[in-house]
This record gives sequence, structure tokens and C-alpha cells, in this order.
Amino acid sequence: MEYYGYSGRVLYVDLSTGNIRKEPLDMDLAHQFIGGPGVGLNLLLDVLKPNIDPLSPENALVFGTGPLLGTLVPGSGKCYLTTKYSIPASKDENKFFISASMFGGNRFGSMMKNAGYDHIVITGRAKRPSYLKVINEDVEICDANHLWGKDVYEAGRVLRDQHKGKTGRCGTFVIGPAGENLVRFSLGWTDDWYNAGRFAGAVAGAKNLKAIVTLGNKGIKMADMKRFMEVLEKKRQEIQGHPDYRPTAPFGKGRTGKLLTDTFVDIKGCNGGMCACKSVHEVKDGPYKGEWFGGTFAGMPALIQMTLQIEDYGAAFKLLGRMNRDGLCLSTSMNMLSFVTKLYERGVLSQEDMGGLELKMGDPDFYLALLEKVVRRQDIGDVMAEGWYPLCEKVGIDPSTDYETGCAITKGVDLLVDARIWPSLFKQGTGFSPCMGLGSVVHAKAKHTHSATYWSHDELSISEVRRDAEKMGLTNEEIHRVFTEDSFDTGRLEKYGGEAETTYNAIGICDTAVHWQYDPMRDIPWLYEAYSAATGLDITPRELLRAGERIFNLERLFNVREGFTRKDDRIPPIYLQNMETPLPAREGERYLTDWFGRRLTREDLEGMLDAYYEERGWDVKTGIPTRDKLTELGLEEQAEMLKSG
Amino acid sequence: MEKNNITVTPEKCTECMSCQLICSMTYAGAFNPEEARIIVNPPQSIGFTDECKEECILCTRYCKFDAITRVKEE
Repeated sequence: MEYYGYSGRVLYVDLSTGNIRKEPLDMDLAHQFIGGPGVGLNLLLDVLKPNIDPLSPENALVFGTGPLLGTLVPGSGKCYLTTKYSIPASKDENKFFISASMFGGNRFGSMMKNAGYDHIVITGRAKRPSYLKVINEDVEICDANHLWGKDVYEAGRVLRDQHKGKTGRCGTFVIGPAGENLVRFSLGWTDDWYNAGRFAGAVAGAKNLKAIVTLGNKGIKMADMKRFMEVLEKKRQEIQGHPDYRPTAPFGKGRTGKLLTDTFVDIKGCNGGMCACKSVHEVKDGPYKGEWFGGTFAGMPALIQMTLQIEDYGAAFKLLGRMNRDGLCLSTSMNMLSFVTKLYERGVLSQEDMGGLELKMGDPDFYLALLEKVVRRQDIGDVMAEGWYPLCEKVGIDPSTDYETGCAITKGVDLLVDARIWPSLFKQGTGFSPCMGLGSVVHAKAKHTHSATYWSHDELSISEVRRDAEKMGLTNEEIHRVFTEDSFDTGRLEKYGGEAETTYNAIGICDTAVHWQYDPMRDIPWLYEAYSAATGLDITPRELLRAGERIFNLERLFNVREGFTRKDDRIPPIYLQNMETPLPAREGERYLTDWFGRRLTREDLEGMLDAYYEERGWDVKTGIPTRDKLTELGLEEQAEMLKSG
Repeated sequence: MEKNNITVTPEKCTECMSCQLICSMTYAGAFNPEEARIIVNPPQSIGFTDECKEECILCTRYCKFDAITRVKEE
């Protein structure tokens, strides 16, 4: 059988037995779920038993791609990692979420497909440190003793030297020392600059899997290349003609924008080449000269300076660089350093707890020493490495309710951007989504930025938001449920925003490219044209969006089996308090408000959740998909499998 | 100058692979960077294989970052 867009195979690797097998891709699944997250969840369904320890050999890592990944479509480097993540998601023991989470890359996914595999399913645990080599038919579990202990950049460099392509680099996924030492908020990096699998570094580490290398020359064929290129060219021209178009991510205005511009040294981008966003910055002079960081949200230095009260931006660069090299989540590391340091200052933690460290608030060397304790799992660092809830238990304080030391936490995940830090993430005119704050709460893996939600541009009117909704493929009936003449329902809009962006991601296109500055990319009819020309499959635009809906429902079913319900979609209590930030620029009261600037109460937020579940066809009290909804989506078989476990 | 009428500046390359994607699509019939006629190893080098046609400038059209540019004729 000839495959178009898809590579047509799934690679199964059992690290315990060394068994490797290649199976054809089930095209019925591809029809129903497109790619990455949806097919990945179905593959997980076959191998994942309920209530297993995410760090046990029984857990599986499913790396997935979509049919347009590795083409010339702007932003077409989006892959997925579907697994049971390692961060404790509840105060109850052994409760961990299962999620399909996206990550970027410019070589990893593209080379995986070119090697001939749409998905890689990894189970078991290798007896010794290993890496997986995937080069066309040459698939091998290789010794990684020479890589173990190396930081992510060094290990990636060694692997690229070992496995050189004919015309360029191989693709890499690499974990750092934090993942090796099972720090539960560790992650992996693809192609050096794209963080992959926040909270999955330890899952790979527990499998003794240091890295994956991908390389191949089988080619990604299009069903109708001429039509595909016509459809593509039309959109590329439209993007280039857009007044806001710039090929690289903007650094913003003001002090932060100037700092990022002054320290800029390089930028990397994903396939399709119209939207590079992974910038690299280096300190040019002063005591931190030469310190650099890259591949992350460019606002991170300012955020880390503010949160940790660090005066010198160079010190923030140094800290970020260290976190990246170790393969630690920047957000959780930063928030946890802040939390623990403030508790130490308050006397809740003793010098003995801290392993003798002397308290130096705002001192980067103090924070670096504390980070070292996390990565090496020493003293308080060993407790921090277990995640927020075990740490809460140790200190007897919940950071999500104790403002003085706290941050917003949902399902064990600290939210990178506090919804109150800008006037409001729910509010018009901030350049952020009215849905984002809500999306952070309802997703299986609480999202930390913009992922899979509706993201608005600056200062949109209600009619412009409505126009976006139309471009996302909402029917007239749905539009009428979401919008009134002068307002809209955040909970209901979130359902459709999440599905539209997940559909893009499942196809292999970055949702950031869709909503960031390329307004023309938010165009479901065009997406259908591109998908259809690439795959030769006749699926209507509406059916494409249905795939996005199926993905949300299947992910939810997995987590219902693990015991998650509406009560886990917890609005962080801290969101109802005033935010007092230490920067002068952020003085004044800062409450969570709606689109129109009205302060939101708990009842308002719970009302948004009610509307979200209702629009989804989920039980409003429990947040569980109803039988009618599952039947409508054709998910009865999956529901039965997940019910019986 | 790595090739007639094309200038390469490897340090500007973002590794988006657009040049290799358009090249392989045109000459190998699929998106297949390993079969492209342009070799991308930034920041050290960007080069061309022997099969690369002197008159072809497709890669310059798809590079948005000025890593591969066409020398303007006087």
C-alpha cells in the first residue's frame, strides 16, 4: 500500500526484551484521529494498564507525528509525546495524568517520518543506559554509557557526531541529568532547542533511555504534489503579504525587548521556515559575560528575575542555561526555588533541611546550589524532585493557597504564566487568550502557556473574536451558543478553540504558528485543502475538527480511569486573591478579571467550567464524557476498553 | 560564494530545512532532506552537491532568513 503524508508504519520497541517490531499504520485510526495525539492515545490504549506507576517499565512513551509534519507548511515540525506523566497530580497517592502533549523540532519528527515511522511506542526498561537509534530499517537499542551524566547539549553533540546525515544533522531527543535521576519535573529536548515532554524526562530516565536518534531518506510523498504546492503557495503568499508578518519572533517593547535584542546571538525555527521562534541570547559583558540560554520563551529572564528577586539579568541567563542543560522544567524549577527559599526565610525550613546552605535571597549562587541538590537528589532537593504535592506534605503548606509563598497550581502543575500577571489573561487587549486561563485548568496536563486553546491577538473587538471563531470552523448554531451581540461565553469558546488548535497540532502544524502572528493560518477550510492534497483522503473540514474533539474525549476517558473528575480541574485558589508583585511596574491591585475588566469571583469561574462541560457534552457535575457524546464520536470501543481496564 | 549567483551565510541559518524540502520535492519527488542537493551544517557550512544545477535558485526563494541569497545582477 502506498502512503501519502503518512509514512505508514508504527515502530514498537520493548527495552526490557530488546524486541523490535514494525507494524503498518492503522489507516482507520488515522481517518478518525489524524495523527500525533489521537493515534498516540489509541496506541497507548493497547499497552497501558490502569493505575501503573509512571516510572515503572509498564509505562509507555509514544512519540507521534502528523501527515503534514516535515513538509513546507509553515510551522510543520510539531510532534507529540503521549504517556503517563511523572508529576504527582493530586494529594491522593498514585494519581498521575495521562496526556498527549506537543513538542517542536526541525529534525526529530521529520527524520522519524523519513526513516519510515509515524509513531514510536517504547515500553519496558533497558538493563543499562541506552539510546534508541532509528535510521531507516536500522533500528537498534544502543549502549549509552558514554552519554549518561552528560548535559543535553553535550549528549546531543556527541550523538550528531556519531550519526551524521548525508546532507545535515540527524534528529535527536535527549534527556539531561535531571531525567536520569528521576526528577519528576524534568523534560527532554529535541534538536537542542525544543523542550519535549515537561514531566516526561523522568519517564525516559526510568527506562534507562537517554536519547533517540532519527535519520532517514524514504521521503514524505504527497498524494497530489502539484495541488499541494498550489495550496501551500497561496497561503505562503498570504502570510508574507500580511502587515504583521515577520519571519522571527518579536521580542516585544520596553526594557525586556531591548535586553533581548541586545543579547541576541542566534535563532532556530521549525520546518516550513516562516516562523523561527527559538532564540538564543548571551551576556555580552560584565560578571556574567558568556552566560547564555536558548530555546525557551524569551520572556523567561524577566520572569525569573522578578520571581527570584535577582538584580542582574546575567544571573538569570546563567540560571536558565543551567536548568536547560540539566533538562529541568524552567517554570517548576523557578517557582519551586522561590517557594523553598521563602519558606527558609520564614523559618519553616531549617538550615539542616537545606543541607547547610546559607540563606541568600536573590543570590544566583544560592539558587544554583539548591538546583544542584534537586538534580543530585540531596537534602531538601530530594523532596523537591518529587513534585509539588510531596513537597507540600513535607512543609505543611500548600503553595496554591498560601499567597506569600505561592504560585498557581493545578493537577500538580504550576502554571507558567499567572493569569493575573498581565491585567488579565481573560481580558481584552493583552494579547493573550480569554480562554487561556480556563484552558490551563481543564486540560489533562494543565497547560503552562498558550497550547491548544484560543489565543487572541491584541485588542480585538467582540466581532473580531467572532470572526476568529468562524475561521476555526464553528457552525452558525455553535456561534449562536458562544456569542451574543456584545459578549461571548469563555467556557463554550474554549471547547472550540482547544479542538481547532489540537487539530492543527495533530496534523503536524504548530499552533503557535497559527495564532502567534500569522492570522492567515487560522483557516480550517485551507487546512482541509492542504490535508486532502497531501494525504489523498477525503475528510471534510468538519470531520477534521471532529478528530480534535475525539482527542479531547479519549484523553479525558484515560484520566477518568485514573480517578480524575471535575474536582481535579481546580481553579487555583490563589487566582481569587490580589497579586502583589515585586516589580514597580506591576504596582497596584491585580485581580483576575473577565474580558471587560470585571473582577471574577469563584462562582463566575465555576460557571465558566459548567459552560465548558456542557458544551463538550460532559456531565457537568463530574466532568466525565456522557454516553451520548461517546456514541456520537464513535468512541464506544475505546470507552469499553478503558472501563474494563 | 558557494555557487554561481548564490551566496550562503550559514550563521544566519535557522535549520528550518525549507531549502532541502523544496529541493528534494522538486528533484526527488518527495519531502526528503537527505536526498536534497544542498548540504546544511550551520553554523559552519552550507554547501551544494555535484548534482545541484547551476541555474536553479529555488532554495533562495524559500529561505526567509538570508542564509541563502541570490546575488543581484548589476
